[in-house]
Amino acid sequence: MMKVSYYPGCSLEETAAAFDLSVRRVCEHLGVALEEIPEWACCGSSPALKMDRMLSTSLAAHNLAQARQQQTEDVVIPCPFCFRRLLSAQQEVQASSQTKQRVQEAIGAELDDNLKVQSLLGFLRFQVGLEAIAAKVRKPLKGLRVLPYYGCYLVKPATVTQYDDPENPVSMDQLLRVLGAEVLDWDFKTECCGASLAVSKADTVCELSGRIIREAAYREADALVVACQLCQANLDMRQAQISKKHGRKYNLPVIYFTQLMGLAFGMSFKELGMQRHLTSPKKTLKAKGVIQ
Amino acid sequence: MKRIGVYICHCGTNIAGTVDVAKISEEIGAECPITVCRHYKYMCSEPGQKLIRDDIRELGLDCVVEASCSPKMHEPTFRNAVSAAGMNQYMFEMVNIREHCSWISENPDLATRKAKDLIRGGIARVGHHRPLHGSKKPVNPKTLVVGGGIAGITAALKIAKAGYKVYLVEKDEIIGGRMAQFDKTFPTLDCAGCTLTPKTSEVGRHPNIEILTKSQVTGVSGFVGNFTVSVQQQPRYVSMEKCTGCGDCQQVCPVDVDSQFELGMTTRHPISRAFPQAIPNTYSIMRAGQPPCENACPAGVNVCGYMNLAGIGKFDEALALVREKMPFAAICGRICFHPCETACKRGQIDKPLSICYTKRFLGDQELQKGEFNHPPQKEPREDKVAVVGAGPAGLSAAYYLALEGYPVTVYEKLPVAGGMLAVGIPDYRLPRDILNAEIKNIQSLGVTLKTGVTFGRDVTFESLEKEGFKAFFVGTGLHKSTGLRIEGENLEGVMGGVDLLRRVSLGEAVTIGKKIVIIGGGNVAIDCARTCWRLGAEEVIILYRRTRAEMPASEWEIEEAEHEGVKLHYLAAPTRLVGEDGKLTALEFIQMKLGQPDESGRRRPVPVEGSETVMAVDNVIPAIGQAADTEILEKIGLEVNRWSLIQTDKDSLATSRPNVFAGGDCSLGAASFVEAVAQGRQAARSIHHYIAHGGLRPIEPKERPMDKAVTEEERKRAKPIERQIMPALAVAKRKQGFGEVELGFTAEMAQAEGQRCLNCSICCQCGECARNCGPQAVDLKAKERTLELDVGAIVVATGIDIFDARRYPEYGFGRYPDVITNLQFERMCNASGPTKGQVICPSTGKVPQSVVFIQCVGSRDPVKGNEYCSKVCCMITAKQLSIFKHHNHDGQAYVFYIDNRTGGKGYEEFLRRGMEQEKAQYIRGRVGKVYQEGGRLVVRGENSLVGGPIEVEADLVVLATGLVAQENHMDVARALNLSTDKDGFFIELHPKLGPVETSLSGIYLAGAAQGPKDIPESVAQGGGAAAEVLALFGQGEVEVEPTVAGVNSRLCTGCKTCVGLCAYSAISFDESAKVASINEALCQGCGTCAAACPVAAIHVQHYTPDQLFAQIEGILA
Repeated sequence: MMKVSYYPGCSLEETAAAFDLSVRRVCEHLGVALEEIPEWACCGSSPALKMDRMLSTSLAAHNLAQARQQQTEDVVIPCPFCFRRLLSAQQEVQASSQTKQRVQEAIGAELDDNLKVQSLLGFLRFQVGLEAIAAKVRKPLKGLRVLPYYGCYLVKPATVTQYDDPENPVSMDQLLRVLGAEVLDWDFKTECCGASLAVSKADTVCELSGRIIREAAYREADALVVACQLCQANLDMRQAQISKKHGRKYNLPVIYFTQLMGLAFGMSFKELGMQRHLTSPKKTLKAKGVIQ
Repeated sequence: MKRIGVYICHCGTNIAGTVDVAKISEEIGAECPITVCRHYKYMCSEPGQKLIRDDIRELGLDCVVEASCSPKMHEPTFRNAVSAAGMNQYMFEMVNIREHCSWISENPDLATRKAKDLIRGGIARVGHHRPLHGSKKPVNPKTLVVGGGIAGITAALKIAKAGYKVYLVEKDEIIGGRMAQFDKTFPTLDCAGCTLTPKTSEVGRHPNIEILTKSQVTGVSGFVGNFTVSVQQQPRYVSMEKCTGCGDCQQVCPVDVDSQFELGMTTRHPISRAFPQAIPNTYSIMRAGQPPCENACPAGVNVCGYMNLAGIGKFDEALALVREKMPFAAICGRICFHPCETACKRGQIDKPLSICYTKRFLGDQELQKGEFNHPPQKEPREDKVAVVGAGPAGLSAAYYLALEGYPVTVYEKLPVAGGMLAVGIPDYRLPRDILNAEIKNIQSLGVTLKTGVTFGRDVTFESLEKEGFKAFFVGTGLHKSTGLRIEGENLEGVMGGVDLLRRVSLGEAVTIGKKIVIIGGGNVAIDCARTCWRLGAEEVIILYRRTRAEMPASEWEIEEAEHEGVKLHYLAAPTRLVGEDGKLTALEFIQMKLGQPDESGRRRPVPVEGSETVMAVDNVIPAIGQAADTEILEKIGLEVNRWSLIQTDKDSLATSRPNVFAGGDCSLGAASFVEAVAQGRQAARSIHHYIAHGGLRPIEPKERPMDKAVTEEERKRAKPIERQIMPALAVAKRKQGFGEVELGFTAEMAQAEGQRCLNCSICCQCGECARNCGPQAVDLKAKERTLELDVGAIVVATGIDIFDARRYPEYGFGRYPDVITNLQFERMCNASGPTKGQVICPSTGKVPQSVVFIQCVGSRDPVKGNEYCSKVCCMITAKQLSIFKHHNHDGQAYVFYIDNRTGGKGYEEFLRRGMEQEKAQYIRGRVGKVYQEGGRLVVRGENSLVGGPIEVEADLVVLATGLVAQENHMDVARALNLSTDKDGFFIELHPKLGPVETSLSGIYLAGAAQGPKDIPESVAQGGGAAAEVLALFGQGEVEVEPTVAGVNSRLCTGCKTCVGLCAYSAISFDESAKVASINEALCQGCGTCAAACPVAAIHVQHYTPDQLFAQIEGILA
């Protein structure tokens, strides 16, 4: 059993509960014990990051300090924003002993430089590894045409994230291929979905997400596979709006990669929280024989 | 007291703007022991120089100090000036108060002080100067031009026309360089071919020019006027004298590889000619080196060649190729341990070619047809040769001697021929009819076989010599089993492995029990186990003292044995054999564990104390090794080594007796079949040389083995065919006897295997071209050679490479067929290019409507590419969009650019025409990404003039890839001692005044190897380099500067520190006097040796310690 610290982040508690659920189920199945960081707080992503860098870094550092108490070697984070913030904070304090001192004073705790901050995708792809994942596949996703969509945050900037190509990432492609899915190639892997403008400029979001949905439809994908709850929400929720704008009906399921892993491992649709998606994947998955 | 004159230059305001020249002039004149001190606005001008000359004459000066710019700039000017006035030029000293003082100082007071100090140093130094005289050496009026592009061609033609010999060295198959790939040239839209080909053909015809293609300079020694250059030349394999350029050869070539000349847009055959007007106008063959399969084969069989022939169904030709190195195809195809397959590069992609079984198929189908394919047999000769031992080595020697025309008699002790093939390898692996047929095949060449004759007893060297035999080959085997050296070895029921196999093979009655233990881990052990199983044993166990990983037996043999039910017991060694009434009943063995690795690299097994176990057995068969029959060896009377093996010379296989050669197991120890065959052939060649020329054969250079890593191109060439699986006899049927287990390939399977070859060596030397060449111009045996050329001058014109657009993955080059480089676009426009001059989208073949040009790919981008501007891309794009518009009047061109840099005659006007008449849309900004949306390419960039993003749909995207230094520029730099800048371009002597010279006199630069250039600039520089060369030749002799190092042999301790440090190989060690010795002609006076000498035995003239210390003291005074 591999023991790691788990930082779910705020959105996985509420809107993206399905992501959290599938992550926990899949990790358990792979023999990874996710130990939730005790008394974790906001990662400092927004709005702290925009207003006060020191506050943001200290918030992230607080979580790292909490993780240190668990005596694990890795912190695994599903949310790309939390991942980036905690990793950046760690790099900031590593780069400057002055910052480190100030942060440690602010949070009243010591920081450990050796803690490995990992995105869930990077962790599963490289640390757990394709072989271990392949060994757990019971129901290969044969014939399911999927488009991996990484979003803007997960692999950028490469100087921080360092585990995949920032322009053409492939770790999710490789992982989905191991599950038996037919992984399509496209150029929209890291295009912006517009999530950060969700409230302020809905039209722009519709345009940006619309392009992704239109391209996925053009490539005749059965589903978009995501690793970010904001991408998921945006692409899933806005399909009706986009359909109206484009004058054609889209019905493209937007699924977390962990949910597909769960299905391939033999878990049920509901067990993975898949009924919670607005664009229901049920019909497509049934048609492809992935679920009964 | 020397009379010293000091002259201080204002250099306009360059010096006088910061340094108070008048003041220091006055002070120095007053303070220093000098004769005169003057200052002047421009000392380098004629009035300035005259000032010095007049003073020398009128004041009788002994020395002159000049304080002005860097000696690099004007030292020669002033040296000439003082010489003109009759002073020795080495009595002159230059002080740099510009680069070292005024230019780098902001504070005039400090600068003035520093200038004064520097000048005082010069004055102190010059007092210690002595007149020096250089020597004169004649100039060898021959030139080496490195690089056959337009710059090199220009230089070569100009020098040749002046009547001097030129060697033009080119690394490719043809001359013409990059220009040969262009379609049109800017700004006139002239056809590049029409301007270049008359030049290349003139070079080809010119009696003074010798073209050396496929050649590279590997080293240079000597000095200006007297260089010796080493040139390594790869073979063209096609004689330039005999080839008529008919092209018959490429019609039959079975191999296709990406054409580099066409930038991968089409394929070529390894034998080809880039285009019909190419110079040299003959065909040539591209070969990357010896492929790994051939390299791994002990016999050196041309595997690629016969596999490719098999691939096109030419089985007879394939077999004939096998026979050039291996007489036994059907046998080898059954029993070889095929290291070729282990080495095969296809194995790195999926699975290696099934080479061995394909060869077996070739042999089998020949046996079926009953017609044998041999290399041609030569005219019969008189001299008889005797071969001792009819094993693989002996038969191989006999075969190749017979082909050479010799009458051969083979003497064999056993009643059958074949050696271990007949009595060592069981029938189920090698059926006897196959063996006999191939032996018969050898006999059919006139080889006499005498079995049942024991050499040393029935016949001897002396008796045979009397019968007229001129030479002998000894190829006896190792037919004795090595004992276990434990108690009970002589019990009944213990039988040597080799003995068992021999007795079974000879049809002797062998009785074995039910439970058999075989001791050992080699192929003989496995053969014994599988034989016992066939003889009816119920339980067969192999006892091996290490683990499976260390087992020397072939993996597939072990698998087959396990498949048949043989049990393997690892980490166990026998300790005692137990018997009753002289008959074996049990075996005691001990557990082993692996300890430290021994000298063979395998971990040494160590017994585990007290773990002895006794097992009841019926038979024990030791198969732990073989030995020669020492009795016979002793009788033969050849020198043997400490392992009782015949001592031979590794290359010639000669023994201690002059007319006797030996090979195979008797000299190698237990070796493989294929090694024995290799040695038989090797010995046959030595024997031929011995008889025909009375000496040992010359050692031929081996072909360079090629890189073992799989390249992207090879991956692309891998056809999607799976490795064929050998049909095998069902296990149930095997027990019924010794029927062959592996059933053989069909013709289709053999052909499929042949097509799986990656052709990693490019040319596979299958010989199809050679067989179809009317004038017999193809020589596949040609070898690389090294030439030593004596020349007086060298012009380096090695040109440029193109930036690899894959370094911008976001532009999709290599991913989308419709994203191409501008050089590919150029090939597309060219009438002899891959599309025959049509501008099309490679993905669809349709004419593009919208073409987007992306500028500065790799240029002006310090983050991802190069910092510098490649200079030619703006004009190339303007040209290419014009060509595109001429092809498609309705098309639209877009250009994403940073700046348009079109300095040059008629250039800006040409660009404007592209914008205004061709209506190209120029968008100022970088491109962020080229992507596919809805099946169309979209170029997303920034329009920096508008200040926003822009997206343009494109049918074709052309990347204006920058110019970079040649990939191998460091090889050239090292070979010629040239210096390069940070980008890999060669550094000229002076950026303004010495653009074609280098810091090494006699070596000149031309073309883009010095920095990005367009054609007119390259041509101009080529002409400039030619002028330098001709100026040198015009002088007829060169002065060797006297500022060289010298050794004080009384002080030299002979430590040799200096010898290794000299970059010019000017220092040698005089073994008789035990001191270092300096070749003054080679010495460049750099001083490294003088600085390094621990006992200060070396001084450099004009830089002696007294001069340097005086200067330092002067500065500090």
